[in-house]
Amino acid sequence: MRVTTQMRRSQLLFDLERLQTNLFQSQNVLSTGREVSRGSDDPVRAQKALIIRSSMARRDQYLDNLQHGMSRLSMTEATLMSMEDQLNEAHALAIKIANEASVPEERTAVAQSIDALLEQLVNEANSRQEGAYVFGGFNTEQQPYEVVRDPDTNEITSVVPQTEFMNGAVTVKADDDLEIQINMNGNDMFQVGPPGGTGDMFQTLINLRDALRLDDINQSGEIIEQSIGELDSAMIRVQTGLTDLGGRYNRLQSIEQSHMSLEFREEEDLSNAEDGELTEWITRFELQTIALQQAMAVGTQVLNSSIVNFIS
Amino acid sequence: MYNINTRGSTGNSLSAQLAMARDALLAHQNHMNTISHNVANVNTLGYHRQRTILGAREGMPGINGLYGAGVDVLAIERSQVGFISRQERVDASLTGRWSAQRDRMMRVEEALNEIGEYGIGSALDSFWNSWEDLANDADSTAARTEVLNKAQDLGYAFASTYGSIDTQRESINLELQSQVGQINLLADRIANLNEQITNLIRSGQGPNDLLDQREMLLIDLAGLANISVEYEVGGAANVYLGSEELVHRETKRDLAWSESDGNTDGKSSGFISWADNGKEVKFASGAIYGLMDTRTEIGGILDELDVLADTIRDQVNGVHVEGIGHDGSTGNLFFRDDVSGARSLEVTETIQENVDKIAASRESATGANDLAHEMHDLQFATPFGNSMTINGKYQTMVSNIGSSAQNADLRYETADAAFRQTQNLQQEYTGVNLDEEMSAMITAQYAFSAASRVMTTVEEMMDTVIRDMG
Repeated sequence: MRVTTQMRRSQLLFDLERLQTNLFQSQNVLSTGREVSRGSDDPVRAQKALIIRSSMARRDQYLDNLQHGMSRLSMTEATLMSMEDQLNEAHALAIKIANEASVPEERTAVAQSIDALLEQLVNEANSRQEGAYVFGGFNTEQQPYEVVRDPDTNEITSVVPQTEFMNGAVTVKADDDLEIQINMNGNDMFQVGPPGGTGDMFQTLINLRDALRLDDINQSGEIIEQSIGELDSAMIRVQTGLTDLGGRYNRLQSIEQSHMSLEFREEEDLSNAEDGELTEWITRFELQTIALQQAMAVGTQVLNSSIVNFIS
Repeated sequence: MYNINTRGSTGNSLSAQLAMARDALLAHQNHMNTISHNVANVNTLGYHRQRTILGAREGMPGINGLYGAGVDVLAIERSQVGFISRQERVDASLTGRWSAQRDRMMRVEEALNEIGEYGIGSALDSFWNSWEDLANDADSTAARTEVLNKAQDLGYAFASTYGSIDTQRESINLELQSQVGQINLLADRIANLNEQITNLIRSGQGPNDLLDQREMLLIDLAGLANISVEYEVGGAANVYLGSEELVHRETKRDLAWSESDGNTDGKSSGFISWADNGKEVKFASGAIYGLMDTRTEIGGILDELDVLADTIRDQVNGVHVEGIGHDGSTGNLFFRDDVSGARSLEVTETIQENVDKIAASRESATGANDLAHEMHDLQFATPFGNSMTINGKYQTMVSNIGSSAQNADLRYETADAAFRQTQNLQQEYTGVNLDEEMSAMITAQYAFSAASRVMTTVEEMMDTVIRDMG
């Protein structure tokens, strides 16, 4: 093979260029940690990375949703527990009055207490979280329970729910095909059946309060007995609601756990799709540096050697 | 007197010997000239090594047989290997094609700006997620504003991605136009060289360095377009582009750039035709073919972006129009449907002016979030069939562009390596090796010295004859 002066030079240039390109690539991988930074680096891995990124973005949102759901549920739980206490208290008062002989003054005082509890319960049934009514289904901007008051005494005479959407279910998206209800409907606990009926705990309290003021002890006693039974049911409904709520909370929590561990795995997958094996690249980088130095040394020597140097 | 100045005088005479020595001096000087020409052009691209071919002059019959008549310069030869030049042009065409394609596809890939954080892909993810933020706070105006923002981000991502890919198409058209000009220029220079070379050959002179120039121009031309060359004995090189003649001896035909008309979609694309008859030029390789091929591919990508944007528009509108806004209004479109394509995925004026018209539910203006969930779930819908989602369609598109860029890059590397190999082979036969030239120089130098010694000796002999015998 005949080797010309241009061949020697262009071969050296080509080798240096190639070695420098490789070195640059290694440097890039080592400084960014990424082996696949554009589709053409590896279309298959790049597409995988895109899919994982998209899935991770979705999962982040689910985690936000779950957080939101859990915070809603725990606020609702606090309210329901307080309502349970009030029902308990009303129940205890009713039993006490029913079982003990009492003077009218005492009964009036209990009526007063029951009225206070009623006010508080109605108030809590209309409670809001972040500005939205909690127990009214989709009635988040309209007060779910309107009260009608006696114009003279200003006491509550009936509690009227909104006519529409009281059973609306508000859900959070917990996973691709999983939605979980995060609101509790007052209609399932406070007012079951038609308003003013036996399933209406507000009406029960109104009845109880008014019965305590009756002069006819027998009639009063009957109503109190009935109220005690209705309060029992109302308490069971609230307790059932609380259990249901706790169950949902636990469900959200366990879904959160599984999302977090999946997210962890996805981060690993993403790293596999995009990142380079660092130790491998460091070795490669070192070998490339040596190769480049060698090429330079050999190249300059070859270019310098010429018969011209020996002609006097 | 002796006619010592007669060139080529022969025979057994002092004057003949003097003439022989003189001719030898001239011949070796000529050789030296070629050597310095070679050395001077050691770094000249496309230079073909030349050689002075010396030959013994035919002797003259004398009393004792033939008398030698010295040396003569037969020719100054230019080394060349025909098949390598042809291969070089084929390689140049391939390298030109894939280099153009690779560079452009890399730009397109950058325009997509995916893999990173800010492409259409992440804008889509954010858009879908914004509906879940709304679902978590179905009465919120702030969450609605966020949905609007994310929708506008998405529209912007589509428009800007489309724009920067479209810019590549525009710049390909500009480059093609300038390459048409370049082909015309090269054809013109080749035709000129054909004329000069033919004239030189006709007058018996060697056109060596002009041949080098023409070969270089032919390779440049081959880089742009697939050409074939036919050499005439008279020295002309006729160049064909496909089956049509581009250069015939000292005449050439011009190419012209024509804007194709009748395109109303803003995707007009020009084509290249013969200036004299308007026929479209068919390219099969070279940078021009690479650019045209890439332009077609880019056109396809732009169409896909349009389809993708319109699908999002239709899907989102289809759900949204059935919802109830927070203000109780119904039947509102989300994206404008009086426009289409990736460049105009825009939220309707109605919604931009009042975000409370964004619906979160099909049932209730407040509290409910069923429709917001539905919007989020549009990312699982498969409007393209084949279980292909909107996100999936986009991811596939990005991956395909990556594959295409990678393919062009690999093809370019291969073509370039082949081109280099052929160039090395060309060099092997026709390049200058300084060491070779140096040793030739020493040989020539000694021959020259010896000839001049002969001349002085003959001179002394003449002197003897003239002075001592006169």
